Amino acid sequence: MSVSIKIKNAAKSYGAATIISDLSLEIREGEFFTLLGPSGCGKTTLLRMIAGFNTIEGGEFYFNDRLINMIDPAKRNIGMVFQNYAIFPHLSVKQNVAFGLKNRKGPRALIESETQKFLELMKIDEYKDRMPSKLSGGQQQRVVLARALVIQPDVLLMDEPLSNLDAKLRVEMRFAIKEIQNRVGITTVYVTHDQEEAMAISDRIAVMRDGSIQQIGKPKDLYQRPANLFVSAFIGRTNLLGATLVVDGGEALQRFSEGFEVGLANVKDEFMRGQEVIASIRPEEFVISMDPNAGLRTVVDGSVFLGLNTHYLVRRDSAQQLEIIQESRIDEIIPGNSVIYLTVKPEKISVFTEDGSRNILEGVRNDNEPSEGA
Amino acid sequence: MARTRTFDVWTAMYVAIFAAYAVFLLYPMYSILRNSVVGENGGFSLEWFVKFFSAKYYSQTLVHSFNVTIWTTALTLVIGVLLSYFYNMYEIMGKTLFQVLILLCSMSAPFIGAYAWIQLLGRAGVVTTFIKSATGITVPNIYGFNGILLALTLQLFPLVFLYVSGALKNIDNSLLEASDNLGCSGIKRFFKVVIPLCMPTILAASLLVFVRAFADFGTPLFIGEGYRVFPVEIYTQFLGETGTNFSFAAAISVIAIVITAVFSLAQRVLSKRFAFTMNALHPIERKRAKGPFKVFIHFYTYFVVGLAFLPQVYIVYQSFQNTSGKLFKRGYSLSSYQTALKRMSDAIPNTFVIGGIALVAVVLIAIIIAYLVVRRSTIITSTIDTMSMLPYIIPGSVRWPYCSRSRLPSRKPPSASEPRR
Repeated sequence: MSVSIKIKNAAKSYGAATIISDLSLEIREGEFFTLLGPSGCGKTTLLRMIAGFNTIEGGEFYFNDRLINMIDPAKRNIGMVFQNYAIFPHLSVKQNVAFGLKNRKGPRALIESETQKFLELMKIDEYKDRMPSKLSGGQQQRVVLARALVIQPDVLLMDEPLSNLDAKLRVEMRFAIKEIQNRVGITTVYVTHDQEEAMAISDRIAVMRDGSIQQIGKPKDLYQRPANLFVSAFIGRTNLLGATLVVDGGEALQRFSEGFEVGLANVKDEFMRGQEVIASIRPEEFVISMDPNAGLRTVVDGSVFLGLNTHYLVRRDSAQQLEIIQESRIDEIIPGNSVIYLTVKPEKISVFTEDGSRNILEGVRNDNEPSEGA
Repeated sequence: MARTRTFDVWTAMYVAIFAAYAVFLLYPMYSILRNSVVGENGGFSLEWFVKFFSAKYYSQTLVHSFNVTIWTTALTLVIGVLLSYFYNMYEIMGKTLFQVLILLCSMSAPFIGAYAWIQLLGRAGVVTTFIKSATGITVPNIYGFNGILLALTLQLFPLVFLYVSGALKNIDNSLLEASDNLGCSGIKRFFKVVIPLCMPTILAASLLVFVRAFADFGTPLFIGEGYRVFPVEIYTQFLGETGTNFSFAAAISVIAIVITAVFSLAQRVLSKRFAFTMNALHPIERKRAKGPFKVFIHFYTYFVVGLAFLPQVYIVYQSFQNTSGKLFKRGYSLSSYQTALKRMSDAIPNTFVIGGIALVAVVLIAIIIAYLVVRRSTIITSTIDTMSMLPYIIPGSVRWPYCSRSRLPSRKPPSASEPRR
């Protein structure tokens, strides 16, 4: 049975250092929810508060309507996957998986059959009598997943579970985890600092920084309509360009230092006034043109051909470097030192207030600020 | 060119180490073995072994030794494992001092404990007389089995503590969290997760305690009285005042070597079964205990360490007492120290000089052997590795008379089980 998780005004500090202050969050039943952020942002601390390994110093944590603040970690009915697996080295694969069930003292036949079921589900049945040291990283990962899921937890918590695997296996395990989560339908909270992993695996992502949530939303929302500059720069790659917002008779446009202008049709009413802004333009949102009247003048510094795409590194007059990604074309790659002109896809770019705290465009979905949700 | 030269250097090392082993280990072992099978008439004979096992007077010492050793090992394990668990899992007030005290306990000379316990709990002991005069109750006899067990246990449990503490530091905190998370916490977790994870170390510590307790003869010599144990018998046979019999002593020594060898082999086999690798990314964080449990762990740790340290304290106290001849008098002074410095003018510097030289030699030889065994793995080095284990299975009281060919007067007992680390 899966539950929803509600966190109200959570707070945590170690001595004088405040890790989390006043954090609220709702995770829906059956959802794959990811806490994403740079190291030290408090994501693991928050996860450990849900698990009960870190004391909760302020706020209320609910599973459905049940307050869990004071419930012993052993009684929260949580499946947990640790960063370094925490596989019991003195027990065989099967004993590891059966560990939680044995502690619940169910009938022996049931323990046996449930264990077997999850060994098969995680495709580790053939290794069941091996000791953990004889397993590869990916197999160990499957063992801990089976061990966490076999107890039929209300919630599955995963703390950077893939960070110890090599790149290829990491991608493979992403899908394995996502698939098993879908199949079991369990509310899952996943912690990672890898934004690509988060995008690939999550239903919704909470981007965290310095103990507070920047934005909660679907991967697509975070990428295309980031709530602030931090989210924009943390999720995916982007180019940040200073510009001036000019409002004239209900029409808004942003003007760059070269005199290049981009019309903006979707600026929120509250921001419709002349001001300095920061435009976040992702590499694929630039359009290359050879027409001197078309856009931003830049000089090509170099290029990388990657098959599907070609990356260009170009330089503005101000010496700022920009990264551009173009779908590879059949004609020649633009040689170094060529002068090219850039326009943008105006509906795709993001524009932020000068301090980077707000996206001034419409369509930002941030579940962290319910009033703004569409 | 350079390669050939280094090869020569290492070959010289092999030769030197083999020679050293041959002279200091193999030859004594060989001469013990040879002596043990030389009969009264000078020919080959197993009569000494027959004599030992057929006369209850002798074979009983073996039973006694096993009794002492097994009980001591069991008790030190219980006390030491619990102590290191409390110490490493929970915040104990004054834990820094605590560790220093335990270290001091583990380093005290073997028979000082026995001596101090006699002074405290013996027939005329301070505590005994005090309780007798205050309540009229006679304190149970400290001599014999009980006394040996008390002195040995309190002297050896710090070894278990130090070993197991090392093992606990190797346990990753997330293993304990995973156990909690899966519904196994508290005492259940102690037995199902913590103990199994420490098992290889616990086995190693048991063997160490076992061999030490089995070989120790200072303690039973002092406090054992009628309770005769094996090492004391070896000592008496080699150097006793009632006529020595080298062949018989050698036969007993062979029995002792066989016993310790069997146990260390058993330990090696068992350790392999429990062997696994751990790496602690996040070491265990000490928790604050609450309520009665907090009181209990503090009481336990303070009591055990206090008891173990009591002999030391009492000896230090006595060292300041005035004496007249062999009796203690009222009043305190440094006169005992003056006497000691006067009489032992050679002994004290000797202790440091010999100890210092031995230390340098031990470190050098150990590094060379370790390098050879790990980096230049050949049949020769693995033989060296195996031979390096030999000192562990030869009890001190066996080693001593053969390694020092001069026969000292037996007034001062040699240190039977000097710390081997």
